[in-house]
Amino acid sequence: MTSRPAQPFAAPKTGPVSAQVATAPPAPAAALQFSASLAAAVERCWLRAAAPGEWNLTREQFQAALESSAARRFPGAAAAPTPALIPAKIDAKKIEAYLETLHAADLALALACSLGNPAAWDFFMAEFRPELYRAARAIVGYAAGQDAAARDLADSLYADLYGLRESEGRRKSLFDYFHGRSKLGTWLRAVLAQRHVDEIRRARRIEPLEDEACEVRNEIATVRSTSPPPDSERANYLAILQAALAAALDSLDPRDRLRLAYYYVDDRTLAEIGRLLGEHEATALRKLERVRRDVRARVEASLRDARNWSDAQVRACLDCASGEWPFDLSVHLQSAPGAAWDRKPAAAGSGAAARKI
Amino acid sequence: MPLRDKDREQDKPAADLLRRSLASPAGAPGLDVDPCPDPEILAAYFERSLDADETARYELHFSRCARCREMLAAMVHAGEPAGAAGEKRARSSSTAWAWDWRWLAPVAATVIVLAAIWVMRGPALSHRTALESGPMVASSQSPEPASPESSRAASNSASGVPAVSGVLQRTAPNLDSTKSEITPAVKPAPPSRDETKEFGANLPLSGRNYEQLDTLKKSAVAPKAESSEPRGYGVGHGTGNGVGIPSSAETVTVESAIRPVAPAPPPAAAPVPPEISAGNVAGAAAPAPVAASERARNLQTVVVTANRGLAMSEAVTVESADDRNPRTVVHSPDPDVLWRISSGRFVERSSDAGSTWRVQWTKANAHVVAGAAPSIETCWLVGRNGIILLTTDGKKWRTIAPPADADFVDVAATDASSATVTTTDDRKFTTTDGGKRWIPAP
Repeated sequence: MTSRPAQPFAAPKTGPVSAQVATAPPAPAAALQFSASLAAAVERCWLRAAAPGEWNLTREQFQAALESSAARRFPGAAAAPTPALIPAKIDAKKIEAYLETLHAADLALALACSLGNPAAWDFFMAEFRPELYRAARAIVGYAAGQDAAARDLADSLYADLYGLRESEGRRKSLFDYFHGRSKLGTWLRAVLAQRHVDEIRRARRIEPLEDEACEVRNEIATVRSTSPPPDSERANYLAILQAALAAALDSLDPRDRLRLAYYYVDDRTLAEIGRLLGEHEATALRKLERVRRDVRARVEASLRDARNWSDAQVRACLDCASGEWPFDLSVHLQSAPGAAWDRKPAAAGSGAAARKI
Repeated sequence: MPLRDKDREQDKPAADLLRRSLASPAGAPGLDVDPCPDPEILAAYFERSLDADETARYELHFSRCARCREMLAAMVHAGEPAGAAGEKRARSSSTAWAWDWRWLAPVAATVIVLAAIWVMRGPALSHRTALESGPMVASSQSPEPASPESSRAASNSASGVPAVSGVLQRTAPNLDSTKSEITPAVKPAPPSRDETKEFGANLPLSGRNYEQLDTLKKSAVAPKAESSEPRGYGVGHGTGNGVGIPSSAETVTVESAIRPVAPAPPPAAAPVPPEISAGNVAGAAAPAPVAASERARNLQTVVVTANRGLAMSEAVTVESADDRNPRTVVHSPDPDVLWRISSGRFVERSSDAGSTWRVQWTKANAHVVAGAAPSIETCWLVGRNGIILLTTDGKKWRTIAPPADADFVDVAATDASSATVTTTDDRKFTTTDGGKRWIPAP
């Protein structure tokens, strides 16, 4: 976060904030109310926020934002009718530690902008608009003619950030969804990415889905018509293998499973996987190989131990996978909302698999 | 081997199996996909600021949710500088192998070993490098045009026929001009080709082979004809690239090899500065009659006299086989901290009583002959052509304006400000302000 201006803000010449909005009532109180033992932590957050006086942000408003943030992080605590009934595992120390991790300065800026303070909006526009445009250009692409689309993507955010919609007499600003768990800039990038991805997925559903669906169905029909008659022994092997593989994948560490999904489903490069997981490319490569060996070992162990198979039987079962995949994944793909072939290109692997059936 | 290649060649069935199982919801039976997290959770995950439980929980969701994975990928692209995304994507697959630690480990080990060898042999290597390039510099200064003999000798030397040519060829091609002057006058019995090869093969390509120097001196032949123009000190007089002294040493080696050893003149005829006698090899590129005499402690002094009207004489100390690496050592008050002057050209510093030495850059063309270190970080060095150098931090040397355009042979200092330098004609100058002003000393 950048440093806050020490000088008073100039009154905005033009801006979306009206006087009525600037004096909008504070955010509704959160369900979770801090006990007195958290007063010191709240005070430290308030000091870290260092909100300029021009933002007209009160400590009570800021504490309400902190309580709202903690309520989202600890739903159990928020559900308790009184502080005394907060589950023991969500003690004050946990909440205090959580408060220490918050980006208090960004939270204060978001709160002030949500309340419609013109000085805060000026500061936000000066600090984040260039970054917002740059991020939008990076997301949309740098190809010629994409600049306008990137600007549209970024500009579309301002209306929601300001809050053109009203609910219960109060503007609903997108800033209300920011609770200080990340930097404000990263959060804005996440919002941009979410909008961009959703727009692409919406467009895929509308335009190419029919053709692609027909194409895939035709391929499936073709494969089925030309496939050899089902081999009962092979089908049995494959069913066992699929169950073992599913169990092995489910027993994986979530991060390893995500790693495999990035590589095999999304068909991402090792460098991309490294950046997505915060690892070096070589580390991503090494861990990916390890996970794959681990999965194979688990599958083989499952086949040997659970079914008392010999090594020859295990090899025969694994060899079955070398042929055409007999499962009709299109059934699963169609039945899973949001997971159909519209996931292309992220699920390029699955799409390719469906076409091979 | 990159993983994708393995997929293609060896493990494709297993890769397909994984791909299909992961893509299919059937791969995770009984596990419903949670609602997608808010952008704030995505942002916090992207910043690695979620705690371990949340990270595991949301990574499990991401592994099943293509939409969230797409958003995370878009965030990665959004965080990259302009134009970097496509470039990285294109480059990553081809360079992944280069960062595989298993590939880097042996390479890194090799580099470390080589670096260790280089560090251990660093001063010697730098010295040898200078020696290799020295003759080139010395000969390039020769004003004499290449004669037909020189061309012929050059071709002979290229074929490695005569023994002396072998020496010259080894030192530098341009020295063939010197050899061309030498060869007709000397007319030594040409050795056989085998002898020449063996001779050249046994001589080191750099540095001085002092056993062979002695041999050559003993078998030296008639004096050579005088060259038409005088020669100077070689690089030591300011036209070289800072590596001239070794070239002079090489030249002396050649000269002494092809001329009879004359009786040594009295020491008074050729005053030798103590520093030079103690171990510096001074440059003397003139192909003049050479007289060599053996001095005490196996130091052999060769007096080179230019005889073409150049009133110049030079005392050159040539190391014997028993003392091949003479250096002037400058002691500081701390016995662990030493400076030494190698061949007058390289200044080295040791902070462990001489166990290890680190070469320091002083000044190109500086020929240092003496020094004084009043403290562990302060050292004065003096040399020819008015060279006065001073370091006050033990690392960086700066040039001090000399009081006279003379050759200095000695320096005495009490600190970084006060020093007295002595010229070859025994004039003394004193400074008390670090060399800004010099006063003739009585």
